[in-house]
Amino acid sequence: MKDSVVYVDNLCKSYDGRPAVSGLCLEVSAGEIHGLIGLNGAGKTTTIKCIVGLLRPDSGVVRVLGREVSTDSSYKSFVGYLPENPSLPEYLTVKEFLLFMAKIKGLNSRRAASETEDKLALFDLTEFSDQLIFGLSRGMKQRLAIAAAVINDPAVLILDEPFSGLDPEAQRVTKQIMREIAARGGAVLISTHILDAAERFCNRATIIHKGRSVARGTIDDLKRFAGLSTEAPLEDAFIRIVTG
Amino acid sequence: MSMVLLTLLRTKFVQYLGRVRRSKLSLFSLLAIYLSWMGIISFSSLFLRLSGGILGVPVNEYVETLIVLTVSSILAIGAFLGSKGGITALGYELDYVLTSRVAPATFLISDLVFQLVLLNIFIVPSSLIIIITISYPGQLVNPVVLLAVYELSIVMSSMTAHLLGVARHWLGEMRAKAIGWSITLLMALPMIVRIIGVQPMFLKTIHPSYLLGLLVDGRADPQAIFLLTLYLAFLVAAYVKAAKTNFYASVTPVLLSALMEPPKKLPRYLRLPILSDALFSIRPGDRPSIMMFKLHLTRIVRDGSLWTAILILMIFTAANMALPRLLRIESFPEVAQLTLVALYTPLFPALLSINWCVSERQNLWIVDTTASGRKNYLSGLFYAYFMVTVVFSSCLYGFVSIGAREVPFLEIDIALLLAMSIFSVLFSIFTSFRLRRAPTPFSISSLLYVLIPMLGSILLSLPILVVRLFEPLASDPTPQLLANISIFIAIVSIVFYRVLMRSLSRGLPDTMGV
Repeated sequence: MKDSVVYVDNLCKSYDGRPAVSGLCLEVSAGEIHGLIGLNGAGKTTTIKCIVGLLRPDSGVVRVLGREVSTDSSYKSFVGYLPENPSLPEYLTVKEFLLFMAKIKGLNSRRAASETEDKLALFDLTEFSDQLIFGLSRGMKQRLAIAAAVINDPAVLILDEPFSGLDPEAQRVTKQIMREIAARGGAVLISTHILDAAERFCNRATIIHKGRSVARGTIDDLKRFAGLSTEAPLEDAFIRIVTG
Repeated sequence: MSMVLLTLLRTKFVQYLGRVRRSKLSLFSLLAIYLSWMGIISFSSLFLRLSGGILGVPVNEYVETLIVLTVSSILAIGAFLGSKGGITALGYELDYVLTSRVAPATFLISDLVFQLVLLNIFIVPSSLIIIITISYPGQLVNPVVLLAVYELSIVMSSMTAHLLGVARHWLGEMRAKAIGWSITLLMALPMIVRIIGVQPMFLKTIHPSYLLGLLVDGRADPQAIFLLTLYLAFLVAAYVKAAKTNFYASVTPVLLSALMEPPKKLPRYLRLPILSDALFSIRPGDRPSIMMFKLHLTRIVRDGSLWTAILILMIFTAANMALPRLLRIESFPEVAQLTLVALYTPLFPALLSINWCVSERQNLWIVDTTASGRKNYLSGLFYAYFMVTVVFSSCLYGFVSIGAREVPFLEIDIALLLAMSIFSVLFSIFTSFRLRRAPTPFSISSLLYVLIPMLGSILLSLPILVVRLFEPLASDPTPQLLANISIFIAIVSIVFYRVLMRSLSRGLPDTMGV
């Protein structure tokens, strides 16, 4: 817990009396790309929303960078977040949106302008910079949402199903950014269904089932936990763990 | 076919009224809102009757005119909706019904029944209340015949909407729209000629609204009945042809684009480069509060809210010019004018907050995941709404005053305008953030977005409204009175603003559906 960038202990959250997450535990350390893996409805998005401050937990502890999220929102300055289905202000142009994001993330005017230009170039959005978001395709909107999530070079990057609708080139750029954040001592928490991709770029993972964390550790740990060899695919381990 | 039709219809109503099924409280609130709406209609009718009574205008002339105008409105609404697509296809219907083997005729008829029920709920009771209030205690019209005429006009209206929807398949979108707008204009002609103040006789012999009006007061001659039958026969024949057409590829979700949702294509037509790009575009050096103000103004300009506000301004200015003519008076009494302006002003922020709910509410996650939260966002929203409201209501005030041949903008009027604008903006922001979900077009709950700012701002502005009614206080107020009014507005605004900002800045993410 001492070195945890993201620390979640005994998290509980219900919707209208129906528990979505009950007693979930999760730890993401510095320098780590951590996968959050689970079936549909397992509680991944609810957990992520509690961490980024979009949902108020019913009980439990959620800390990011050592700060209690329910009482101290200063941690948000260091976090980049991508929702599962990001809704964007479609009336803004691509460039206006990135500039807006840079400013609300607290960057000064010079850095806001330079980061905007950098991210436009990095995500191949320069030619669309003066186009309204409304006119972009789904994949381009996803690119833009990821660019916005990393506009402030966050220390903690939290991505909820980032690869849906993303073309291979944008996936490569996103993975590269994730590795860079981890390499400089930050942390990445990523929820994904794509297990073979998770197997390749996550150092550690937590498997969630019915609102509880049922297994945690390195990818090899999870395979061993499922009674499989480290050569077996993560998918087999996952299925074995969630089906008991 | 009948089983499929019933299933389609039942599912459509369940989906449309889905929220009511959640709890008994939801049902109760829905009924309460509906009854409040009826209350407002009754109050307006009473006001209309008393104004006419005082001035000695024969009541039967009112009734006759009102029947023609309400029927004309019903027909114009159908044509207007038709120009927007006409067929009320909900999202799930586009995805699952229109891609299934359900025959177009079955879908079309189920939607016709759906529209008839909805239009009946909205139009018939309110229209009957108006006519009954105005004609009481004398029985000027046969209620059964009146009801039948309203039903007939609703059927004609819905069929016209559907035909224009299917016309997109036959003629293409642009042509169908052009026809839709032309028919809307034709159907609205009785209102337009009233506004202009002319009464062309030929219109009375051929326009469906007048012909239906003649049916109500029993003066329909064989020629009128023949013409009416001809119109109906044409509609039915065209409808039968439409029902045999596979029009699915041309269906758009009309419920989501006809009235509430900002027209998505508008940015192409209404990008004001000088206004939005030079003045309001976000710059790296902007302070956070200025940036949020610009953000909201940019949205209002680009998402179509500004255009809708202009449209509303035009409609209400026209209505203000038409109503005195309806009442056969030169201009409104001052009280009437004030009531109207007081009622109109909150409509601007109400409209902005409805559009905010539709196009912006889901983007709140962006500010909710930043360290500064909603504070700047909310203050920017307030100043943007205030700016738009004050500009538009000043124009409205000016037009009304000029129309009434009164010196525009007495000092007290400026105070009233300011108070109504500030209070209605605050109530609108409160409503849009506190209500859990965005209003759906045509839903009765969407009335809350109008009722709360309207009633709230009138209530808070009551002291100024009262002063406005008394002469010579209104036209020649003492400096002390003006100072007191200014202090009153300032204190109430500041307290209300602070309480609201504090309560809404606190994280409410669980309630915002992010």
